Amino acid sequence: MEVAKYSEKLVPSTRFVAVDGVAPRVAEYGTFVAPSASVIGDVTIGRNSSIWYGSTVRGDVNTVSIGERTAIMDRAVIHVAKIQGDSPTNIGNNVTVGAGALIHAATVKDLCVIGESAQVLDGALVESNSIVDVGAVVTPGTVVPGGELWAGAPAKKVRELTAEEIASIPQKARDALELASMHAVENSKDYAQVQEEEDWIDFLEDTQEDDPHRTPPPWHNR
Amino acid sequence: MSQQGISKVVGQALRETGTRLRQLGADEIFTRHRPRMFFNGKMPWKTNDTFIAPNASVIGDVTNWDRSSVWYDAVVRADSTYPIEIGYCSSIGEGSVVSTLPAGQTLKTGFAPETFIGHYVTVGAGCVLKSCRIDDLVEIGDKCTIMEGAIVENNTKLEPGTVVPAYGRIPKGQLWGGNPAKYVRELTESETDINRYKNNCKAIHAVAYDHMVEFLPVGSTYMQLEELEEEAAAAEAKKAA
Repeated sequence: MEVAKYSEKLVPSTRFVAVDGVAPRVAEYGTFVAPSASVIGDVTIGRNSSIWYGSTVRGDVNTVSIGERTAIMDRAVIHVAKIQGDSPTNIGNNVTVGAGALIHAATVKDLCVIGESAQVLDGALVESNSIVDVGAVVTPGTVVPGGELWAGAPAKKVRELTAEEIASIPQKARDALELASMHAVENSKDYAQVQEEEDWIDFLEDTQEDDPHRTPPPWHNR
Repeated sequence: MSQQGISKVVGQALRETGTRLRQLGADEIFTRHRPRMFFNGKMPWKTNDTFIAPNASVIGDVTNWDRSSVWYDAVVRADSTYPIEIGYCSSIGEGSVVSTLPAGQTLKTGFAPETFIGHYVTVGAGCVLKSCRIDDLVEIGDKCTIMEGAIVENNTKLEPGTVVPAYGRIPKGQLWGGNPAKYVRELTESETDINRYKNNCKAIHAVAYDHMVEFLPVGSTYMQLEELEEEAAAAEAKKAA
């Protein structure tokens, strides 16, 4: 039996990958792209947007444009279509694409919330100020009008959004942006600084008293 | 040795083999991903038995109990001042996302918005958990979504693809499924047997241990980096000579 030789040790970075000579264009200021995220091909990312851990934005056969202050949360997947229908993906400003969501060749206008694990499929259009609920599957070609809450698989209108919910949409984008800026700082530290800070945290844990609100597991060596 | 020095050696190798990777930004050739990342002064706590996959992200105030595992591509993100706890022998499946509510937001129920995953819990692949509480001895199927404030009680099972809405509650000893989650049936006696859950989790840990020993605790990157440094130094010495 042939045993595969384990030869590759250093892991190449797939944070930004060019396809056919086209590299992603990311705004200079304020964007956070996680090291484990993959931004591939013809992708344009606006200012203050964030691509979180483990997510994939793949514009290899078509274009992807992501607006400003938009957050593509953990493990989300943004794809395009060329073979089965020619559709780019356009995501507007102040959009929050929840963790694990999938946007496949769809258009999402400004100020939307795509819930966790939701799927927005080919040619769909999500208008401004609407919320696609958690786990919803917006089938190909569907239009989600503004100000509505859609849920289910296949997604159907549930109800109109209250004014409070509509006001919470930009707040979500702001929360994500705030966190993103902290993560951007954290991930830009080089090896020496990371080592220093880890040593400092070890020192703090050894010398500081336990947080009275949280008891550590009994065998945690403090 | 700087990234530039190494990139010279590696860049040459890449050009010679005919592949050319045009990268954006600084010469980032190798991934800067950290599987265990401190955030806001909090380092994820783990034991020697815990398996955290090298491409997983465990960030911030996370407590991993003994024999727990965070599998490949999972993201456990406790960055918003609310902690996440992963209990004894529990496992977070491939590509799952465990996070909390953003800082400042609280649950309507008044409970702390932390994510608590109890002991002997199996979280399947592709799940999304957010500020929820999973009690001990639970089997969560693949691609489930459990939103904030939800409580999944002991000895329950969630079918794959279940979406538990915010503040939902899955009572003890039941099987729920669907989107949104609906009651399917009671779990049979053999299904609620504690030992079944425990053995399942221990089996997962045994596999996790095999994976864990494949990766050195400090990573094998440094070995290859040292080789490259030696090569580059030798090449420079040759040029100088």
